[in-house]
Amino acid sequence: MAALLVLAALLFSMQSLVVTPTTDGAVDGATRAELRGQAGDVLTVAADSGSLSRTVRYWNASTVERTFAGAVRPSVGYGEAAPPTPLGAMVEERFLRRGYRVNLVVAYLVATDPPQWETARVVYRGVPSEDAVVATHTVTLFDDDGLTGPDSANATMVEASRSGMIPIPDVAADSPVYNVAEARLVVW
Amino acid sequence: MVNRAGTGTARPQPEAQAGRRGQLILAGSVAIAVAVLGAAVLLNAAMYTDSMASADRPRSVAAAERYEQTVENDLRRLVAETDGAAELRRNVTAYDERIALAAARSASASLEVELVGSSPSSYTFSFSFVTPRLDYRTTMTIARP
Repeated sequence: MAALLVLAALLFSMQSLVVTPTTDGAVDGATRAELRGQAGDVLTVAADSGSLSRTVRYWNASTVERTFAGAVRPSVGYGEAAPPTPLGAMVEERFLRRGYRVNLVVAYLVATDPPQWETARVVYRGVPSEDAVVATHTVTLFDDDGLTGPDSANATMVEASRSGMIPIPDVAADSPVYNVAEARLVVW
Repeated sequence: MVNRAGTGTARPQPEAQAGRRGQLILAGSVAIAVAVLGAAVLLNAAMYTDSMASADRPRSVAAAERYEQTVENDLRRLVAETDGAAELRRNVTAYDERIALAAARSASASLEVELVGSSPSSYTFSFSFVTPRLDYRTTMTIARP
């Protein structure tokens, strides 16, 4: 009887014990799930409003910049800032202002055989930590979509690619589809 | 504790009877305590496993819904930019090859879009999104411009 009582008490107390995975400030499961949900929401909202596509096309009609309009350099994109688009504003408000770090990378197809993916960094803050969360969203680019940078000169994707302003190629030359890109948002 | 309850009553009773009653109360209270604690532990465990089981499942469902929405928007645009069913079929095939690569990359899913029917007023497409845990198939009807 006494053993049963002790066992029951032990089980009961173990149930109420909060088990945290780590004690060095790492994010626990529930927070990660919430963060992952928010990252997915940001991309979905941006995709529905067209802002995700506009962010992917946020290039200037320039052959020397080699990165997004107003970004620092190709290897870090906008670096510590967010891109100056509605998507960037959402990333800024949801994550950067709350102290999270963010990578936003666009992967696009290149017309090799078999097709492969290359990436352009919109925002790159380095290698994510182990408890980073990832959200992805696919965005289709069309031939007559235009660049959206402030000095885009109304160039379409086809024109921009032909004159070497953007690295994203036309992988479906005989159809209205230009490329299928994947936006990947990593938050930690 | 309750095990002394039998001895302190106002009317004196024979020793054996009081002892038996005290024991009964003791055993009863321990049994009730064990039942309550056991129920708490069991209920707790049941709720925990329930939330664990349902936490992971919708991720593939959410991915399927996301792709369905993306594909529908893209098809709408393809329909608007294409003349005639034959050309649309070619364009959808070209689109399907690319979007399938994206779905394989980001969701480890096999995605297929196909033009399966056309009427004077609309086109019908089949959409399938298959992962090891999910087999999602639907059709989309998009009105001609």
